[in-house]
Amino acid sequence: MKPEGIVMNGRTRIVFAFLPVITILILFYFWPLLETIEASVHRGDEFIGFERFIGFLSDEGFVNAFLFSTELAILSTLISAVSAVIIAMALRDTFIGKRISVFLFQTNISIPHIAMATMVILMLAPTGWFSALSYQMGWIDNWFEFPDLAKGDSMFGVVFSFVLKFTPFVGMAVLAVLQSMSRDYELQSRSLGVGRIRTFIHVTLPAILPAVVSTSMIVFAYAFGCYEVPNVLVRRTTLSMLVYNTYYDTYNPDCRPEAFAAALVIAVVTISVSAIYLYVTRRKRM
Amino acid sequence: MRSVPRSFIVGAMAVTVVFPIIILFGWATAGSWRYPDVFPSSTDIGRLVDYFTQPSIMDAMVNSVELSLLVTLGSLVLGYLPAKVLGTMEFRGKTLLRMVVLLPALTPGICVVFGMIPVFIEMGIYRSYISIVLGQITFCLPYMILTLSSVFENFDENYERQSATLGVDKVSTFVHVTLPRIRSGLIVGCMYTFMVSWSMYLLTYELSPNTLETVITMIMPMLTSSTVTYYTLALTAIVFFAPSLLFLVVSSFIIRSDNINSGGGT
Repeated sequence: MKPEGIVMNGRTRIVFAFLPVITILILFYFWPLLETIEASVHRGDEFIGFERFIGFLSDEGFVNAFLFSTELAILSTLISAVSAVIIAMALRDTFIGKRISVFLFQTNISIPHIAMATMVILMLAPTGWFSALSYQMGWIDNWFEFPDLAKGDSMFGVVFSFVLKFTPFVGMAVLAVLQSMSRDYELQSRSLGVGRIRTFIHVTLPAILPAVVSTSMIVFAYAFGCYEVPNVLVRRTTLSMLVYNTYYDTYNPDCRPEAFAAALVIAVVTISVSAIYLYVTRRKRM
Repeated sequence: MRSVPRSFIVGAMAVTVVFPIIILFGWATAGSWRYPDVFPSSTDIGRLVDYFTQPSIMDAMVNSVELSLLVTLGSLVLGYLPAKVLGTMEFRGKTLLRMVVLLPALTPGICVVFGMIPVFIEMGIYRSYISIVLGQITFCLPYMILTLSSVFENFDENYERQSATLGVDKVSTFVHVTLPRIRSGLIVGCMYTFMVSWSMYLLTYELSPNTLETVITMIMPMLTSSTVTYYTLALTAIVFFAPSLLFLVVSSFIIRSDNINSGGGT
């Protein structure tokens, strides 16, 4: 048991350490969030409760943006998670060129999303590299025959950009688990005649699943709430773009409170997903 | 995994990573690259040098570096002690406190940025340098605290106690005992925070003074414009991700040299 003085000292230390950070968070995170909530549930001075949120359900623009953001986030997360596991499995053993392969794999983590989006434009735009290649191969006769994958209605460019960024993020976490776990169970399973795929499903997957799930949650939350990348790479409206456009819609007298309410929907979704992430990682630690 | 599928998977991964970078640098250093050529017809390295030395680009770079350095320093000063407490102490409410500190990183900027505007207006600092620094610190702090707290989880406070018992003052203990043990984590945490601040668009655009042009506020309108050439787009993207390349190389070097110094081999 610790002496009383040290316990008191510990408490003082915690308060002293966290006071400036909590002050910053109260002033510049929680207060703005309260402003957002307050504006969402008022029309002028009148309290309207959840009226705006209920109104969203019958608002075609909102529903479409919500569904598009969800679809985008789910697709990016799923493709990234599957690619990450496949690549991490390929990188787990020792082989010639492993160090450079791992270095290359993690390169995209440090490339900013906007720089990645620029590369996607240079490759996938109607006058980009793949369009030029298609022309040279005789697959298209003119640049406008190439599908607008980078700035059109298709979500391909955004998903591709997200997958390039997220795969190493999920993959490095999976690789860390794979390299720290014992191979004994997998070898026993194989020596008992169980096939590679079944060994993976029943032995390897349960070990890497917490890492896959926790990183996928972060990836989903980011993809769902991201404004910059979809704004650059797709013509359709995501929920974040809807918030931004609504906030600056000078023809709509209710624009700002409506934007605040839509922003709250994003916050609720991403914070809920993040809470699941924290729950999963906490269970993993326990 | 058998070597043939592995070679295929690793090869495909390497191509997917390297190819976009080659295209980017191809455009940035091309003298002429007309559609539908698959390769540039001439190269002009001078274009890259000329672009980097343009006064408007230099100004944007300097503004971005200054802002991100200030935000990183602020996040370090504010986040060091909370990270140490989270990493080295066990106490009731620790999980809750960790979650509260993490919240800004889990919330997309767009959910809070418009709510920040009335707060800064009320404080009389809206669209000032202070508002953008404080706004960015709020969103960067979780990254600094998270990185440092995981470093402190492997830190043995007994070394500091021994140093104090021997009569060494706090500053010398920090410089000679604590710092060498947390060096690589501290540098990675600072670089990570710098990168988060460097690529923060919405907050910078909405809160910074109108006269402050940074690299991110310069590149975003270009990306949404249909009149900007691929040359300019590629050059600006390189200006934008040059610090990231530095981050990747330096952090890999630091982690490697620390592993060698500590006897690790991976």
